[in-house]
Amino acid sequence: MSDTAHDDQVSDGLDLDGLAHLARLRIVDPAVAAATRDQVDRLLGHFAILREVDTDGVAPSTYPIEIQNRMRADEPSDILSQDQVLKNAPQKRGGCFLVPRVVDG
Amino acid sequence: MTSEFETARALAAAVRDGSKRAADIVDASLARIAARNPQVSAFVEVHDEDARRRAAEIDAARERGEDPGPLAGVPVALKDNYVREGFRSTCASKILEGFVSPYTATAVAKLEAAGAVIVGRTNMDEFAMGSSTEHSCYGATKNPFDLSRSPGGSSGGSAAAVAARMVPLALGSDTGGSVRQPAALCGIAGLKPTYGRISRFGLVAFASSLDTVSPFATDVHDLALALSVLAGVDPRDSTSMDTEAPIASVENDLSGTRIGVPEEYFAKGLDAEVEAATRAALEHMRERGATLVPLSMPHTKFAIPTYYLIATAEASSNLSRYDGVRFGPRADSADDLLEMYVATRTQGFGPEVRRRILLGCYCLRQGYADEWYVKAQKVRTLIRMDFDAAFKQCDVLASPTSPIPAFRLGEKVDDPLAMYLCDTLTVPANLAGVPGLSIPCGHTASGLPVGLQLMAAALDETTLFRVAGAYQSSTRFHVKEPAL
Amino acid sequence: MTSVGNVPFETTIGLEVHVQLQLRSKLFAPSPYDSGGTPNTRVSVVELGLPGVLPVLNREAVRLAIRAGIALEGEINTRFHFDRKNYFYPDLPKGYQISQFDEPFCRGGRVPLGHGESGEQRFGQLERIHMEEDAGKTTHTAGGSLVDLNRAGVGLIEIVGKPDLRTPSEAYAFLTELKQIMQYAGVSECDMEKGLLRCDANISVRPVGATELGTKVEIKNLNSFKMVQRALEYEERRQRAVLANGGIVLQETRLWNEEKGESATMRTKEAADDYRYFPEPDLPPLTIERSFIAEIENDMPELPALRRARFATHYRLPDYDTGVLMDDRRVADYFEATAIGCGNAKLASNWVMTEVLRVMNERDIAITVFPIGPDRLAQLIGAQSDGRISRNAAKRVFEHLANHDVEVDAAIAELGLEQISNRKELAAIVQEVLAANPDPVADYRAGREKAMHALQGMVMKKTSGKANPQLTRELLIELLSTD
Repeated sequence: MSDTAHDDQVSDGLDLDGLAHLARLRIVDPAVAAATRDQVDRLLGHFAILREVDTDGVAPSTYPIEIQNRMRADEPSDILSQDQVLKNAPQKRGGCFLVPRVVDG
Repeated sequence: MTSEFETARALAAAVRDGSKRAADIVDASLARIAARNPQVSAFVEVHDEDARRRAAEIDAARERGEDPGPLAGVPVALKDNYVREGFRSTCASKILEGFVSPYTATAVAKLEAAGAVIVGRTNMDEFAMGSSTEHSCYGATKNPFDLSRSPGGSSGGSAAAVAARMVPLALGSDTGGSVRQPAALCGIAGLKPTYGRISRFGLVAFASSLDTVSPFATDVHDLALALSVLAGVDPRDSTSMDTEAPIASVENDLSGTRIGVPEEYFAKGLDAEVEAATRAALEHMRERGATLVPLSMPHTKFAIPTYYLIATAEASSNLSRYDGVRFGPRADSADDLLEMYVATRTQGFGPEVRRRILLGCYCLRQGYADEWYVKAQKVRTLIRMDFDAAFKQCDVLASPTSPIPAFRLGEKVDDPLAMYLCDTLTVPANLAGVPGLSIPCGHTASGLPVGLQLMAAALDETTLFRVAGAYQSSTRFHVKEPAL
Repeated sequence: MTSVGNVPFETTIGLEVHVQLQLRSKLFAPSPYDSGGTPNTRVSVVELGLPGVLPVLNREAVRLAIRAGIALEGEINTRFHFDRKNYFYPDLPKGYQISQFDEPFCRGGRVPLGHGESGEQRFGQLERIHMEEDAGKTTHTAGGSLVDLNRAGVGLIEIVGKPDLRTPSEAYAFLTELKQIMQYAGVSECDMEKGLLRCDANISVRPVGATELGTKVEIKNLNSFKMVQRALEYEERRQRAVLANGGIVLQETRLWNEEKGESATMRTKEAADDYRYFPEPDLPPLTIERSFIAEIENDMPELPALRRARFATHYRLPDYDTGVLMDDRRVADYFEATAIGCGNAKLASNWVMTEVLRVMNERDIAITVFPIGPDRLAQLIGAQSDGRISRNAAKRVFEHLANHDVEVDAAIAELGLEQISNRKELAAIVQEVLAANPDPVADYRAGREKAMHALQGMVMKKTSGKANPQLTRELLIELLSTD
């Protein structure tokens, strides 16, 4: 059972349609949409426990280990043939990937 | 039951000294796969022809007097999220159906250069998102110790392949416990090395700062051998570390070793039999010269939320490339681009993957990222500091690997949160980047394996191997095979 | 500041410029970088965005980017990282672009704009400069859109100007100066025609004295610096007219249409995309040592201001010449090589400014593929100043060299243009002409200067133009005065 009080705090902004659009996904079936919203809500409700942690002055860890300055020389080496590039393409034309026309020009 | 099964190091040694042929070893492996895979469904594809051809090459090389490598003739299985030139990789997802890679993962290339023979690809949770190997477009893999139960996940196929003795070595990937947890549930050894030890180039990304190339074997010595072959900096992976590869040999001495026992890993919710077997293992080691050091890692309870927020955020971005433009099936309905994207992705991804992508988008959203994603990264720092503090008091940390033994298939698949909690004890090591392994330490009354987890400081796999090796040299849990 | 009706308005312009770094390979991928070529033949697995691939940063890109920052007088951050900018587009294979969000490698900076009304040096201030990878190219056809990934992953720097430019011509000046600095610094050739430099502009208009800026309109599809200026001039007029009529300027993005000479609303875009920026986990952060920056400062190629000064003092070139020659660094290099080769900077300058640039324009080619190299041109100039050929002959030789790959001497010989400069030989011819034309001789002796020209003309005709003009005149005067 979801914790209703928690829900109000957590799911402001749970604009599922907006999220789905950002992710280029769709939830057509209203029942599935409701179930998904429920599940996501519940998960976020559980994750909200992080609010208890005092992180004042703590730096975020993007990397689990200390690495810096990894770079490579400016040497061209790898290249695929046009065939290899297009090999897995669902649709192609004239050496290019073909997609339905982009509407915004 | 006596098995004709042999360890990877024994097989390789036999091929190198000529007492065995790679062709025979691979044939035997393929025969066991043919016999057992129908029950277990570990493999989604077996490369009979290619494996035999490769084995013949190794035998020929050996006959010419060339060094066939430290893994000569050893049959190895690959989780379905490693790419290999000319072969299919699908991450158990419909969205990668038919995808054939034009390049080979560095880890795979290293195995092959060492003489290993890739015999097939194994089942997994789709895009490594899961703890049961049930979220797969190929159906579920079964636990060889009890075919009605899950082998764990997401690397359940590779775990089952080794547990059922179809192969002595298999590659999985461990992002939140996806090798250690299945190793525990399947009664075998699984190693998650230090993040950055092994190149991720060619391992299909789930969560970039957490993913680790991780091997399964039947014992610690084989794990060490595998690591010595796989480790090393790769110019194609900027997060791979330029550091000495650990040596393959394993010492067995526990005297003077301080074993940290974090109280938060023994909290309520732990299955009684799992706890009993784990505590017995600790006692066993104490009797052999180790000191047990009770300690606290206070941020442990925040590990699951921290992990899931970071992992889903990174995954939501890593999976954007699956769009039907350059590879993979494309939904054919579409007249316009937006529809093509949405239909392709909605049809191609399973529900767990879609759920995690949505979660990930949410916690990166403008206005919410600070509260969720950045907050999680800060808590991650605190979790890492817990490990730093712990390793000042001990050489290695010990805990159960999974809070519960193998659960029934279907039991948790509809309850995401329940599934996520399976990872409670394993995700901290991924967040901190430290190495961890799981080795068998007992069985439940009904014969289900229990795993002991050991964790060490970054780059200290040697200590892990030493402690695990000592434990295995005086116990027989890892030798017990499933009755298939 | 001009006005529409009785209300004076002032304009605020900001530019966002993307410059392709001059590298041999891409920013995060090891494939070769060169523009053009058959589609999808300059692609590696990395920028193709295949499962399992990872980016690796090009060291030379960091060097060039920092060099650009220093040349533009910005402040280089000693610590920076990359971020992912997430959005979907067919020529963005990974579904995210690796860019920089909150920690760009360079903050601030400025571009000189020439002198303002009161004589003070004006500058266009910069907000920041950051590194990012380019996307591929999408071509729209009736049957669908075609995606070519050759350009995907190419290294760019994005130069964000503060909105402090006041007129469209300042915007033009900003771009030409920026291009020149980038060229001279060796960062990029900045050919807008080849897509090495791309520019978006934003412009707002407000009544003089208003404290808040007007609504900002963004303009895209600008393909040359002049086009930027024209588009901004149009937009400025449009916005002023709207405001003067009591209307409201919409905040939008407009596409410039060069043919029609007007801008139009882009089809309504969706609400601004949420790019969900987060630090790129596949690329570790960078810490730049002060010593590295010092190294780059020391290796800095000669920047325009310095070269301008050098051309003035060392070659004593007038400002006008310098301006023309320096417009393209490659032309300035060509000029210098020629000047050093022939030892006469002014002559070299004249030849480059007139003949070389003329042929370049006629043939629409860059100096890099000009058919006459600086050494050869230097030789030609030398032949003329030595008196071996006349100035007109030199021009003819030049044309010949522009169409044939031959040495200067061979060309002169082939065209039979060797000037007659041998005193004895020419004197004999002059004698003949004088003997054959008594009337002009008499006219000249009677004090008519014009007859000299006629006699010169006759000598030229007799020698098919090969007589050295100065020597001819000298000999004529000498011989005509001795009789």
